[in-house]
Amino acid sequence: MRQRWGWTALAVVVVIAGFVGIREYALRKEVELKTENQYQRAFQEVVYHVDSLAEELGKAAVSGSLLQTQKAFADAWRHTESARSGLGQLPVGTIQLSSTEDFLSQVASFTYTLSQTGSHGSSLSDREWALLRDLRDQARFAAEELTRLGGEMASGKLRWIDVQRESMTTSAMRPEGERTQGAPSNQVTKGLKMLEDGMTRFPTPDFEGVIPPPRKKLPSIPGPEIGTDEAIKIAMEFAGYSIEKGARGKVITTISSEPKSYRVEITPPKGGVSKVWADVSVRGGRVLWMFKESAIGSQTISPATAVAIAKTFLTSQGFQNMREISRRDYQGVSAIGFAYEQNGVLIYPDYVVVRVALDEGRVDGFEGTNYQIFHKIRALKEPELSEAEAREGLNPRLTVVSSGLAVILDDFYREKQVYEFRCKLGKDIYVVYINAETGEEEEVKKAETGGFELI
Amino acid sequence: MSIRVSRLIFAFTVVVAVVTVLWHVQSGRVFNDRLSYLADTAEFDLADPGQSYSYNLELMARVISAEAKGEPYIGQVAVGAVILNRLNHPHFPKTIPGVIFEPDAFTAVTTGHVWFPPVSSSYRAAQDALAGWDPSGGAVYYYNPAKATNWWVATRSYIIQIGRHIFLR
Repeated sequence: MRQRWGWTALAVVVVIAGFVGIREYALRKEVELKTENQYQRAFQEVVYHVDSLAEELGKAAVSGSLLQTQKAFADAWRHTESARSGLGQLPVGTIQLSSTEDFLSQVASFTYTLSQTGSHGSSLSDREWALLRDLRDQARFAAEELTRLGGEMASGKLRWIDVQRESMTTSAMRPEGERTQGAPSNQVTKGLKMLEDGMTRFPTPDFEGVIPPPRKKLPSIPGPEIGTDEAIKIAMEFAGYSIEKGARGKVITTISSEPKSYRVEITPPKGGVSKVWADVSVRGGRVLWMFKESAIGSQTISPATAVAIAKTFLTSQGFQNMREISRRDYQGVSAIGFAYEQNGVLIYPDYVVVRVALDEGRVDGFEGTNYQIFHKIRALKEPELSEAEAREGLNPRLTVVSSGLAVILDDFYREKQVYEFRCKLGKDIYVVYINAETGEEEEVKKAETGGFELI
Repeated sequence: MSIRVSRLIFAFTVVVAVVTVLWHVQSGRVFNDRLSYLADTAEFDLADPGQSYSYNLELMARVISAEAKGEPYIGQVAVGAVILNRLNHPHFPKTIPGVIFEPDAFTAVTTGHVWFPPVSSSYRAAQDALAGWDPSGGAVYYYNPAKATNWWVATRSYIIQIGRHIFLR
């Protein structure tokens, strides 16, 4: 009797386990297939967009009509961005593709810039045309390689799922550099490696002055190098502590990114703030940014008071003539943006953010890397145009709320003197910048973009 | 013999059941909301800054929370800054969701931990990163040396270690 119970139970368990197993297996297959189909779609779209990119670049090189050239550039740009977006959806983590990615990024910048400058009525310069031809050849190569791989994949023998399995998932970030060590075992990986190897062989085009540089080239901060003790002292003074009053400070490390800086950690005496961090530049000993860590209680002061507190703090630290330009309140703090004002002209590149905790009105954060690097007294010219003349360039449907002179950076990080008009259209506030020399509209911004409210 | 067999089967079934339940809890498929008591759940007090902005903020806060919960505050801001630094780097997608959901870019997204309720400090950290703070020193990578295999690290240049994370360029 007992024996029969045992065997029956065993049989039931085996049958149930079998059913569960089959179901799990089928589910896994289904999920795998869906994932694979999405990868296939993303990849075949990359193939299509790179192929179309090569075609549009060819059209742009051939066309004699400015309008057609511009249209071809705009289309090429759209295809490039779509290709980049598709590439970002593929599990290519273990495959080194940096030349291909660099190429797409440069083409995007090139085609975008030319689709814009064309509208100023000038045709391509010899240098631009030569660049265009080189990029077209490289795009054609990429398209051929991708089309070949796409054809092989369409045969149904190669799967992205296998590439995904090969890729590393243990590390926090996508590894790059020597991503493929040894011979790739997978045909897809092999195909992409051939593409990348080919792309690496093309000479790097010189885009200097044609497209905006990928990032601002940072000049070094002037001044003598300071030591770690000096850095600690500067950070403590900035955060409102001193060794005499029981605060302890140390330099954790020296950061080699430009501008070189010391990372200072301060442990204040007992109180609300548990830790303070600051980066102090090695040259010149300027505070690039500062943070105080503390539990932030319920709000007792108004954001308007916070602006006043931030301003007082800046003045006490030697930041003169700062005007508040933006404010954002979140999680019990106010982050207030200030720009330097030189004789009534707002200098946007000289920008700092001060964070004030709204529980007791303590300045608990500062970000001024841009200001510390770029701030200087500028030689500002008298503007060519009067404000009334610049205003004629505005869209007549706008209501101007306020106006003034300002300096902004263009895409090439060049400073430009502009008239700034804050305008209203319905409920929305826009800021329009009109070049004070040429009268051209340089930029239109909507207030609150990026989540920062303009004051 | 038969008693031993049935006991064995019983024990086996119990073990299977317990392992299944634990696995589901670990992978976040059930009890997702129950786990929130572990984290002080954030208040959603965002002053309507536009749909796409608040979605990006929410995503960033989730990644920061899942990747850097328990790290020093600047370590949390630094993770947010890495996401933003990637936007301006040619090797990465150009949108915040693109960067975050790039396959195998963030462990927390791969494992699903990103869908656990975020801790409130991660919202402030995300906002601070958006406001311009970058304690990572311009990093586009980071890893936890205790967890990650670091065979590829040699090819990137070291910037700084904050808490358990090493930030790289």
